[in-house]
Amino acid sequence: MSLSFTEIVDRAINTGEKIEVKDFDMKVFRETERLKEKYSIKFNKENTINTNDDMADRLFLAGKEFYKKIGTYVMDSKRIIKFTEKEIDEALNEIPGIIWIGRGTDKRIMKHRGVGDQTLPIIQGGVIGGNATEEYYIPLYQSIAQEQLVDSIYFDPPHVIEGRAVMHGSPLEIHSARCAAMWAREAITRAGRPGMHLLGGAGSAVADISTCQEGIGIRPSDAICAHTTSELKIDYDSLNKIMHTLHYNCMRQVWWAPVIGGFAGGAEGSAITAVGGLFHGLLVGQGAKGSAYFDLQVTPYYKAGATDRLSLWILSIAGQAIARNTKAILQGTVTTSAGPGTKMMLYEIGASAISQVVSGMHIFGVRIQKPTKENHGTAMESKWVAEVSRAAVNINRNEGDAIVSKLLSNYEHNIKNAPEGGGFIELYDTKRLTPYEDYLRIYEEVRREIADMGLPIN
Amino acid sequence: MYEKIAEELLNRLAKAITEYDADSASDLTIDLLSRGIDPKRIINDGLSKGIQEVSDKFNRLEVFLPHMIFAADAMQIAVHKIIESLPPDRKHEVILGKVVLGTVKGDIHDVGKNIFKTMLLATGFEVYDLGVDVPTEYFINRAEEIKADIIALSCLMTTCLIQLKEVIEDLVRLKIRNKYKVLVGGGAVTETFAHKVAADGYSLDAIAGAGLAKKILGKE
Repeated sequence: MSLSFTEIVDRAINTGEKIEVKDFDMKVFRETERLKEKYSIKFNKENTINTNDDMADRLFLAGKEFYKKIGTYVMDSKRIIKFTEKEIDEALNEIPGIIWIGRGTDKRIMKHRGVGDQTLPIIQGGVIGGNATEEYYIPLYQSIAQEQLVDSIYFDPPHVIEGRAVMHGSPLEIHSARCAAMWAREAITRAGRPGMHLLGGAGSAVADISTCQEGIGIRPSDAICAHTTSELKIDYDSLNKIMHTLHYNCMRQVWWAPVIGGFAGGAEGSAITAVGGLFHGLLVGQGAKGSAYFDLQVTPYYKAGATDRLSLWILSIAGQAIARNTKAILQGTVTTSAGPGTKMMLYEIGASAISQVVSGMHIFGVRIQKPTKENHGTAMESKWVAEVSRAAVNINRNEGDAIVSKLLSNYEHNIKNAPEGGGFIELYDTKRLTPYEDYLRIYEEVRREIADMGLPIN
Repeated sequence: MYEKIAEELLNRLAKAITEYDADSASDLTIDLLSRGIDPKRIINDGLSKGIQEVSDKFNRLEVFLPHMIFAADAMQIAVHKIIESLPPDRKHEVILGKVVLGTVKGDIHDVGKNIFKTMLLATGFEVYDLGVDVPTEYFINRAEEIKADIIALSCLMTTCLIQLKEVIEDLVRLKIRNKYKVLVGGGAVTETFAHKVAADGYSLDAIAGAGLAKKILGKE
């Protein structure tokens, strides 16, 4: 019998073991250290895209053992939600492996992808955390929606609404979130894709829940994000979002993000935690119910987007471990160091998308690690990530690794001093919703370069 | 001969820190103090040397945050032995300053804050960690209570940035702004924003932040 969410919440609030957060953090570290030895997990910087199936399978076992031992920490109650092996296995068996997102002719099938799967990945575009402003919100999102290779759009609300700074958990956050949902819907409608799947990331639960409204906001065919704090921590706010989506019957994106160098340790420990996060998503995030998809992010503690060798390897091997051993529908986030309008960002997007698509993942992006300006993103990055991802289904991991190595040689020395690039206003004609010549030229150049490197991009 | 023994003991103390060996660090510190070695020399040539080595390894990803915490814990125990040995009027010599630290209200992210805390401890600060989702008044009340030198605010979520402004605004309103240096950092914070809210310092990352804390108190 499936475990009910009420029972899981009861463990979070009433019955789970109590422990101080620092003890939980250290437990994460000790377990990842132990398991990386037990399962012989070893990072190879010369093999950014993992090609060792046996190690991917061992990583899966390590991640499962890790989660069974650790569970999910509830920050509000200081309790741990734990699961038995039987409960974990039942959840694994229940994953449907296929969901439908969006409506009408804009509906998309989102299926589990295997390693080297030629099924096209779902591209969830957007300007993630890029501080889209009220004034440019609709044109920015319309320009993304008009990119036909983009299947779905993520949006987050403006940080200033009607000239007032938005505060987390306040009425202004609700106002900003509801306006953003309405504008996102208007943007996709103007682009002629009114049924396109929207993913909202409003912030607090009250703001996300306020956007859930048939007609103008998040519909049951759309989704909201349910966050996880590193490593494997959750709060009542995220649990509230999950409970609400179950009642409202919309979808969830459950995401988690190992911090490289933090309590999960280095590459190997972070990879174990990355796989462990899946079980959190399946059980606490209720992913096994068929109303959720998962998103894996990687966050280096040092100044870098998730496009250095360590990050790409973690995304690749964790993706493969999950793809080979479950039916989960997993996205990977494309996070860059550089900003829009730069060749470096396009190289980084290429490397990240290839690494993840050949490893069995769908794509969520693009996100700049440290956005520094308003409207810090354009539709071009979503278009580019979609083009690269579609081409990447036609290559295998070895071919992908060779291309990624070439791309890395173009940017890895600049990761710590990545150019911030421009924003929507500098790079796009915001009336005609087309990129300016300079950005188009850079895009065309990188497109030719990546084709020369061996990616069949047409 | 005497100097040679002192040097050897200081090297062993540095090594104890790099090996996260709190017991040895404590014993060696007591030994050095009993030999009349200047506390500042014990810190600079022994403890700080060791922690710097661990910190360098952390920057090269050869060790990770938990190792930094182990090393900082060992260092703290040794520093405590030194403080115990000093008369009240000299205790301030070995503590660079007191820092009240936390992630602002509404924000539950703590990895960056924990790295910063560890770097502060390793640098020689006394740190009062208030945790995550910390209301404005907690920062101020705690700073007043322990007579802090620095209030350090961490923020990863953009919609919580306004809380940084709140803390600084309250310090001004209560007419105690000049008593504290306010440092801000975290994923959502930019240098421009730090200037906008009139913070005393901004650091892009936790490691550089510890150096900034020293600089801002003129303890470089």
